[in-house]
Amino acid sequence: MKVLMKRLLIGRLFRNIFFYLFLCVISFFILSPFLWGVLTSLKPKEEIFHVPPLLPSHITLENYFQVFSVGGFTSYFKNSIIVVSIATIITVGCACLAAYSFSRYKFRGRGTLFVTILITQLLPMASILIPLFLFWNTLGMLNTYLVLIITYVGFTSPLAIWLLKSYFDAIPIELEESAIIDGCSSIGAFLRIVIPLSAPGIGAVTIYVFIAAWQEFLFALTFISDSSLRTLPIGLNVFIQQHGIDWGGLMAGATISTMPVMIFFVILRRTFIGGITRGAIKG
Amino acid sequence: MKQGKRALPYFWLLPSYTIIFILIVFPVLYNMYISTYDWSLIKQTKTFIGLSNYLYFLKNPQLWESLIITIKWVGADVGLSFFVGLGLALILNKKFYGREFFTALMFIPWMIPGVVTALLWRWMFQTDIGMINIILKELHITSSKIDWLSEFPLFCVVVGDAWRTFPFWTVMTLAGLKSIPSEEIEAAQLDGANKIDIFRHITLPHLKPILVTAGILVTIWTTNYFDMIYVMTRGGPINRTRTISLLIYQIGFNYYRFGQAAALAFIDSIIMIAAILLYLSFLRKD
Repeated sequence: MKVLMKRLLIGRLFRNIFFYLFLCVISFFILSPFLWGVLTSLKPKEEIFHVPPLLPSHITLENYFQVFSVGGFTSYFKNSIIVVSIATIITVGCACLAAYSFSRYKFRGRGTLFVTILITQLLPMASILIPLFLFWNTLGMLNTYLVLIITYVGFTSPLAIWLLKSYFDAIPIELEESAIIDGCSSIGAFLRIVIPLSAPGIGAVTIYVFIAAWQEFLFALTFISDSSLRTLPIGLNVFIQQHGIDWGGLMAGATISTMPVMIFFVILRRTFIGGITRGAIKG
Repeated sequence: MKQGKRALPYFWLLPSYTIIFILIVFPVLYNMYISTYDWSLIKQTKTFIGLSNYLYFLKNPQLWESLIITIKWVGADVGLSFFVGLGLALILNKKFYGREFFTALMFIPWMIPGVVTALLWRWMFQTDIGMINIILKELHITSSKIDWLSEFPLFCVVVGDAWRTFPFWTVMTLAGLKSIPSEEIEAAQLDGANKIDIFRHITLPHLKPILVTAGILVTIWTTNYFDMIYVMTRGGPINRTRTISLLIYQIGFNYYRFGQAAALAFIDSIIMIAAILLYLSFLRKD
């Protein structure tokens, strides 16, 4: 009897070990492109084309220094941060208002306007690229921060409104009603009750908007030709043409472009993953 | 539900909707207008030609080739990412220590900016020292170096994008799997069903609504996805990866033929909407 128990437990142990090993191998394969890119960025330039050996003889930041000093990445990074942060704040702020309206008020055209949101998600970006380009060109607004900010607010707002509405719907309206009875204003109830209670949802939407705008490529490519205003994605794209294919520098640039998103993600991952699933299922 | 002052709800909507209107509604209408003109930056002319641009494309093999490439691109990408995502979701569904950590890890491909993903995979598929060729050589599967990006460009972009897309399927499927009532599974097990039966008759039917929604979203996102292909292959070589979005961009911003590009963009939108309606009606049949 004891021997049988021992065999079962050992069998279980082996299966567990095997499972974790399997999981680690899969994770490694899935992450390998990214890991390899980061590794390449830390290699001295001479060693990049001498593979095998896979690992660098010493870790160097020369690629990063190069990319920031000569490669123009300081300005790319600055431009991206400015444009995306401002756009995110505006989008989430306005979307909260709009979502609140859909969630709490009944008014004519409510259904139609909300459906418009879904329709905007169906549209290919290419179909608004050309008219927008010509429009901004006429107004002389190409090559400005403003044009990108407005564009990013425009294309992330629909989904932000949709997701926020479902978070607001989950908060019982009785809470605001009792606050209003106690003398609070409508806006006060919104700011002091709804917002704090839906904070995780708002957090998730903020991250989503930031990530979407941070990596946006097509509009940044088309609307900005001034090299001092380029955002990171375009900077990366241009880097290939400018410096032949300096893979070390390119991978350094790529890693830099990914850092803010990674940091966001590591800090707020629970909020993000939970938020996206909840919002999507409810919606 | 509040019945406040009549104008108030509209007021709350104003900021967001003003921008959405400028950014989306107005351009769509303006695009239709532009498409009826022969408007080229090079010729510096703008003449009304009605629907000629549309006729030009319907007769033009460029459009049809692009459509076929787009269909292959979407089909392969959605398919590959679906299977990988679903498989991983099934693995991650069982409770185990460190499950949250691994789930979060799976998210990383989705987090990475599209441009970066394109570059990473371009590096992986690189002929001389790309990881793929190195691994194949070490495992003695091939002796010569394969020039992936020149000979199999569509394969490269599909793999790169599927890598980026599968986490979405995983998350969606996991959420769906969690909502399956465990009593049903237990009852089936008591009745003697094995794992495959349970999967086919309980899991899949429950997952279907979520998978359909996810499928529609992924298809929409992938069909017009520009970044990956542009950065990896620019639509080449010899236009072998030139999907519709690439074609529109090229006609508009490499050849500066705005009228034509606008017409193509409109055709693209119509095809998208038609495809989605078709997809939905197809699935309503069960």
